[in-house]
Amino acid sequence: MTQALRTRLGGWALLAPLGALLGLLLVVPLGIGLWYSFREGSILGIGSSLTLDNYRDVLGRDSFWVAVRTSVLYGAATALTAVLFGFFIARYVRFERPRYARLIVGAALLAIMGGYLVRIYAWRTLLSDGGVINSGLIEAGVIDSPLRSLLFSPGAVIATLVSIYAPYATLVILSGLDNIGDDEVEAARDLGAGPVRAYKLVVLPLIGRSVLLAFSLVFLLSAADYVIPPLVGGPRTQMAGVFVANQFLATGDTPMGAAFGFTTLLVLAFVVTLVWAALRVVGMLPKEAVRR
Amino acid sequence: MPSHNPFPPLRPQELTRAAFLRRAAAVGLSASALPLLAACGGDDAGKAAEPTGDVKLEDLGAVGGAIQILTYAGYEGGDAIKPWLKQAGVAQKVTPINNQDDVTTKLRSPAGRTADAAQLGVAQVEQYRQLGLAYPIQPEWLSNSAKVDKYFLDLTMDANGALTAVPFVWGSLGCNYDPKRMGAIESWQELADPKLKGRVAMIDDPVSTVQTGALAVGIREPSKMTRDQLEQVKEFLVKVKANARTVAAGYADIGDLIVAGDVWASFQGWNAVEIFAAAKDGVVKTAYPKEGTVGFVDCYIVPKDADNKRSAVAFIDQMLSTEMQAYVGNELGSGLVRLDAASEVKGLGAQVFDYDNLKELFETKLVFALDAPIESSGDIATHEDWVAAWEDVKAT
Repeated sequence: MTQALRTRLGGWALLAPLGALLGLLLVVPLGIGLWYSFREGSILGIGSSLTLDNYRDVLGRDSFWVAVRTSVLYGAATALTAVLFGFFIARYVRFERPRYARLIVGAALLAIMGGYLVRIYAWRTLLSDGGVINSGLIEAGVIDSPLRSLLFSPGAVIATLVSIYAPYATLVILSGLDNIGDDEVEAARDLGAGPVRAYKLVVLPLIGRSVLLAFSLVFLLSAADYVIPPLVGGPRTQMAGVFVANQFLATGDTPMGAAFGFTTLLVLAFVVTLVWAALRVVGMLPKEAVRR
Repeated sequence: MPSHNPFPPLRPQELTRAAFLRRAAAVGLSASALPLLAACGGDDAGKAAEPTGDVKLEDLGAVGGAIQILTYAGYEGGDAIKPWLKQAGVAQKVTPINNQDDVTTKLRSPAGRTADAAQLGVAQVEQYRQLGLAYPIQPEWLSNSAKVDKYFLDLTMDANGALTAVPFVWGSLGCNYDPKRMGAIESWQELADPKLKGRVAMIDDPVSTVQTGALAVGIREPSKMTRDQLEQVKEFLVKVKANARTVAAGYADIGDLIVAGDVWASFQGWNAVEIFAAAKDGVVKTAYPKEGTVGFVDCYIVPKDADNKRSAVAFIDQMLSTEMQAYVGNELGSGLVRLDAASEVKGLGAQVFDYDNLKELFETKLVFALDAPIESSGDIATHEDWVAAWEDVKAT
């Protein structure tokens, strides 16, 4: 056995535990789900014959596509807001107040680990007709009667989603900015670039992958959320996750649920691909930076 | 001017992160191919539970040990059940549920098969028989069964005289409303009136919402409605939804919304919301529209694969005792299946139902409607059709 072969085999052996874990927790469940999505099913069980009927039904369900559109719109709005929010916080900490970095990381982790439902209900308390904002505005004489558009609206859903998922974006972007040396930015400034040009030419291309990751993470989590819309959204804020959940929980039709799930996954992956392409076009994902 | 590349090529590395992850995924795929293939077979269709006519209570073992219960918060017996648990040497472990579908899903999964007792609404008793999920309980195993009103026991008794499920509580899904802002509605149709725009909450429960919608359009037996009739129900629900400010996640949420003044009425509600609201110093009332109100009877089953069947049966028997029936009325604001315990219900709980006139309530106001069939039969709408109809209404 040659040295090169031994090295290669050693590398594969070292990677095997991680690969097996990925396979067991990600590839196997997805594979089973995909296989099930092509089978007949009902609450009584899963049939053995293969069929495309589940996907035909999915394509023909207008209400599902309305929900998918809602998911994409809310997910994109949430991700965009979270990325902007995360970028400005991370930029401030990285370049202006580095000593706050640990504080911000701690605060973001605390927010991530904090109670999901508690925060949703906190928004309810803030936004309801008799809530803090309306009461404050009435006390201040700004309005005479409560603003009924605060709660149970698309804005309430997006605000709640942002408050829950923005910490993820902040952490990812902060980690990306942490890899940029001061000398790189200073070199750009020494060569005559203004602050905006230095960001455009140096900072943004170097954190392009972090931005894409932050956007994708927040987008996928928020587009798939089906708990927040019923609690703070209006009657027209149903998202695609509800269809997937209903098939598994309410009708017991696992194959149909898998078909809804994989169709949603494809749509969401397509949106992420579009964002990736857009970042490439605007120069935020240069090929040269990929191996950094 | 020559272009300046600010990103000089990095030194070639033996293993980049991307390559590392690619290789790891490849190894993973190889390692998981066999279990993947093995997992893709199988059909877990339900089989009818074996009759238990020849089984004696002693055959189920002794009372004691731990019991796992799948049920709504509060249905496990709260503090009132604790003295019995201590005396019987039974440790109770409760998994809370949000709706009946949670139970069905769990009982059909390997993890849920560890449950010893589980909630079952009478609307789904036939479904559970078809799925073979419940262990038939002989009435004589329950010392308190003779005290339970026969009306309730008949709802769950199978052809062999065994109980598929043991009823212990009942109630109504009438219209909850805020008496400070509006009067009791006389017809469900009033909730579709534009004057209530933005003042109504619906609830995200496909079965009871479709059942109530069916009653509202004049279908007295929702479980037998055709797909055309289901379309009528959908049209009506879309009209109500035009007035809805939100589709609430649960009944407790309905109480919060009315107490906060966010909505004035619900399509549909639950009589227990009156108790929940009172605990928050709010006043909520329940109306019984003339077209009928969906009534529910909640029961306990012993899952057919339960490990500790004997203790589960003892626990269920205890839920039928006078003290636990009093708990049902006082703490849950719900109806008792043992009418001899009605005198133990005091305060607000005693005002929820008039136990002296139950006959009138059952005959003129409540409809103990069943769920749709799970298998298609002619043009009758199935459970899956109901869920799809409700999804369509929500998306409209």
